[in-house]
Amino acid sequence: MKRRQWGSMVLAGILAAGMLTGAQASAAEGEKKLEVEVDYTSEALDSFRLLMDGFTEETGIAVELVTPGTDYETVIKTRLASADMPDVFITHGWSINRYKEYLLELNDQPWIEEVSESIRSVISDKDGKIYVLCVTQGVGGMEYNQDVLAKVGVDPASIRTMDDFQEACAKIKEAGINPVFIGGKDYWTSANFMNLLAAAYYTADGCICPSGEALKDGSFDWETDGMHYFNAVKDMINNGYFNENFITADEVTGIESLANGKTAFLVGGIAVERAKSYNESANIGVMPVPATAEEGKSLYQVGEGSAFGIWKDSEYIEEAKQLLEYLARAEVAEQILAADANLPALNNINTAESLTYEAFTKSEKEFEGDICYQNLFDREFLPNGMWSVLSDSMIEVFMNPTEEGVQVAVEGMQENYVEKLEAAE
Amino acid sequence: MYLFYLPAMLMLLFFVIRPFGETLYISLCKWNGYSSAKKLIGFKNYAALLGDRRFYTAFVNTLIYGFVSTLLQNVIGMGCALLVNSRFKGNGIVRVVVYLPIMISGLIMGYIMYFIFSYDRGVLNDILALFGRAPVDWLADGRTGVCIITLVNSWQYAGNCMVIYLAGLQNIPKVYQEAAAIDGASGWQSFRNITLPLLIPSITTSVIVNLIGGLKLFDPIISLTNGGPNYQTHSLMTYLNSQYFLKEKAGYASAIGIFTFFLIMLVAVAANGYFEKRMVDG
Amino acid sequence: MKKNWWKYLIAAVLVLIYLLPVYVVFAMSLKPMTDMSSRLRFPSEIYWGNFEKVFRNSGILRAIGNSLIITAGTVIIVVAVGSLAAYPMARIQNRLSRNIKIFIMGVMMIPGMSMVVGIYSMLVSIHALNTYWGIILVSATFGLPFSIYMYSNFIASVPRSLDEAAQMDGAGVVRTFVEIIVPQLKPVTVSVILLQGVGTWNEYGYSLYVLQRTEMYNVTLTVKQYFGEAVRDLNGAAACAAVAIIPIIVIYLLLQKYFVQGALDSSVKG
Repeated sequence: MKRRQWGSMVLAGILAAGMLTGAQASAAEGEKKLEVEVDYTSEALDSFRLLMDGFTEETGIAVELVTPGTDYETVIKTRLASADMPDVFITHGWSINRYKEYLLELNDQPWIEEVSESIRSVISDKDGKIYVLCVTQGVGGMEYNQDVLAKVGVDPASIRTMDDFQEACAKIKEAGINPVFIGGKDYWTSANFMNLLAAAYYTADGCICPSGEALKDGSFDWETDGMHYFNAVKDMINNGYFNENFITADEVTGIESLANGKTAFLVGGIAVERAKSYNESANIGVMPVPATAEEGKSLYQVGEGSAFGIWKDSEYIEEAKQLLEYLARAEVAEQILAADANLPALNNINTAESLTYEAFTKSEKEFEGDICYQNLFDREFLPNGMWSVLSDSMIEVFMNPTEEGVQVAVEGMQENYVEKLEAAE
Repeated sequence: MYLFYLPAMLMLLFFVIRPFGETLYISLCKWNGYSSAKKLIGFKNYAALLGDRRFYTAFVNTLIYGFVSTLLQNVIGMGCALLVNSRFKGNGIVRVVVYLPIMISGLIMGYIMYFIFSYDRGVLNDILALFGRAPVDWLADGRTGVCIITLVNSWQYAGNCMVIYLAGLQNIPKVYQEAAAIDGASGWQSFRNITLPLLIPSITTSVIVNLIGGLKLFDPIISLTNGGPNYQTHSLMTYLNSQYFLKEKAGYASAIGIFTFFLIMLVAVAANGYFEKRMVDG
Repeated sequence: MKKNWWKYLIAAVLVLIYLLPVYVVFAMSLKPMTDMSSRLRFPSEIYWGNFEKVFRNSGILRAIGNSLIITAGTVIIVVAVGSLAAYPMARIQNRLSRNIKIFIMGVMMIPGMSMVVGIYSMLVSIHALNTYWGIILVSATFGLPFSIYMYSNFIASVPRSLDEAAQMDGAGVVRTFVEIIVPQLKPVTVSVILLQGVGTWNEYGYSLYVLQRTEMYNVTLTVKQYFGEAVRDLNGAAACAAVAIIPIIVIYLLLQKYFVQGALDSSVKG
């Protein structure tokens, strides 16, 4: 008898608790709620939550924040499949090429005048229509630890070409410090790396193998011209310029390593604040990706940062517009800038507080006349759906840094490139 | 009395048969998983399976996760059962502790195991450091990764085997072993010739239960390696998942699903046949 | 005692290996993210900040509520529908019954994930995404074969003479089932509830597809989300994992005899 009592008590408890919470959940369903889906994580997410609370307080419009973290793209895609999109969502660089047909055109919005010139072309379609409120822009380049470079006697402003960069790496390695950190565990980190470095070889002004047009019209051949880039990666691996665990390391470990002076360079989106959160006294600078030819220019990539679009079939379009107006307000936009550690994309944002902005403008002075600015490589020059292919190809070379590995990588690139181009037509 | 089947059959019809049909149809299409354009392309997705070395890797891994895990689980489980059965102080604790990980979600277990096997600050590397050894990047090599996933899975679910064998052992009358001991049989001989044959029913069920679990493996792979590095630790199920979401190949993913369906159906029928035969013989 | 020293040694090693991961999670969860000491080391000073943060931000309490609802709903359906279908399966012995049994066994072995694309698009068409009933029906369906299997094995061991006696007294099939069979099923029902309960509680694959809104997340999705979100804060993530596994570990320790019994019912009697 005693045994049975135990079992039924636990079961009854479970049921009661379930029903209680069930009742709560259904009570909350009645009110009107704006569903907002964002890809923020950690502290950025915390501060965005506070901003949403402020919006609700001000307008009485409740906001339900959906935050799939690293699954963001996956979740958005499945929701596209079911035509059940959030009312407002972050377009992560795809407002034109992937999401345009699902988004509301926003050219008539009051904040449109504030959109800064540098991002305008990136977020406009052929007819000049804009579909997102882009509060911040992401800039891709390199971050470095100033103290490490000073210790080994390298002046970052003197690194203008890949040869200079290799030389610097050799010096750093000799000093027992890891030159470049790659976190290959998650596919986007290696894709990010390739996105930046490959552009230096193929699309930057005066690069070694200019192929912007060829990439777009489908005549580019990865199996021949792709070698420039992949061989360079292979050589860097064989020279030992990457961290030993580049296959399994995660991005976070890289940031930590840079902050603590164990790594000299990171390649990717620049955000000085991230490293600072690990080591307050870290001395972090940023620079563009070096040129691949002597006369070429260094490269910064500019893309959507925190860019918010409205689902065109949303039930709450007016409320969503209100939310965007709120986000475009200077004091709110500044908080977003502080949280995502990108660069401002609206002219009304005060940048005094932004460390990344400070470091970025410093580098612009150091490299004055030697920088070209471009949209993200895959968004601009590659067909839709290549992002994970970039990472697949990188991993092939990581796992097997020989001519054979490079061959597999370029074949994979070519095959998918052709296939995705066909699919796009 | 046949009406009693109705609710169950309706549910299976709706959530198994119908989705199966739908998956079958999608597997004949080229579709990215979200757009409205689905194009019928016949058996091209299945043909593509043949030429896909990553699919082949996932297939081999699935067999390893299924069969090697089963073997290990049974060996560990049998060992634990013999130990716990041999009456000493604290055998209850062993039983409780070995069965414990079964309670924990495979997904969460994968994350926990990442704390142990990661290169930077991983527990295993800390232990190596105590012996003055250099840290190892355990998950950087696909083969090691597959071994680790197999080990983790076997470790987590060995408790099931232990319990099954424990019951089997307790059903064996003590007189058998006593008689063998009188005849001068060693411990091993008595185990080999008396205990093991009497445990065959337990072994059969234990093998089948674990085979199912291993071939279906999904959760811990997602959290431990996510199929990496370079697709080398995927099971068929996680490979399907990556093709559907990352590669936007819903048609191809469905073809993998259908393939796996028939693979496991085959194993199921074979196992069931063996099972029935045993019932008749036994 | 002396003779048995190796048993104690093996037992100690086993306990160590089996408790190490759980220990690591709890030790990590009690250290701040800036603590660079080995994960093996017990925190020199207990730090509760991670748990504070988990409870403040992750929605883990809501997720526990969701998991309770989903688990309770699934278990109820699985028990009711499963025992019902098991009765004819155990009692009628003909070709149809045997085929149904093979079919059910087959479904039990099929990974539901292999049909996820079809299930997903069907759930979309019946508007079952992000609903309790959607996920409950899906997980109940895939739990069903297992419970039918357990119930039919159990009912097969209930003497037929009981049914026959009831029928002699003029009871119909339904009455025989409700009055004669159901009261016998208590022990196996406890096993089904516990095993199905743990399975549903820990379920991840379908939930990933069906529950896409944060407010509908169950425990596993919340932990996954936390690991994704708190990419830099592994100690916080460890705290989230700890919160997720504590309830189930407590229930297990309280009811471990029943769990062991359940594991036996599910296998040996087959």
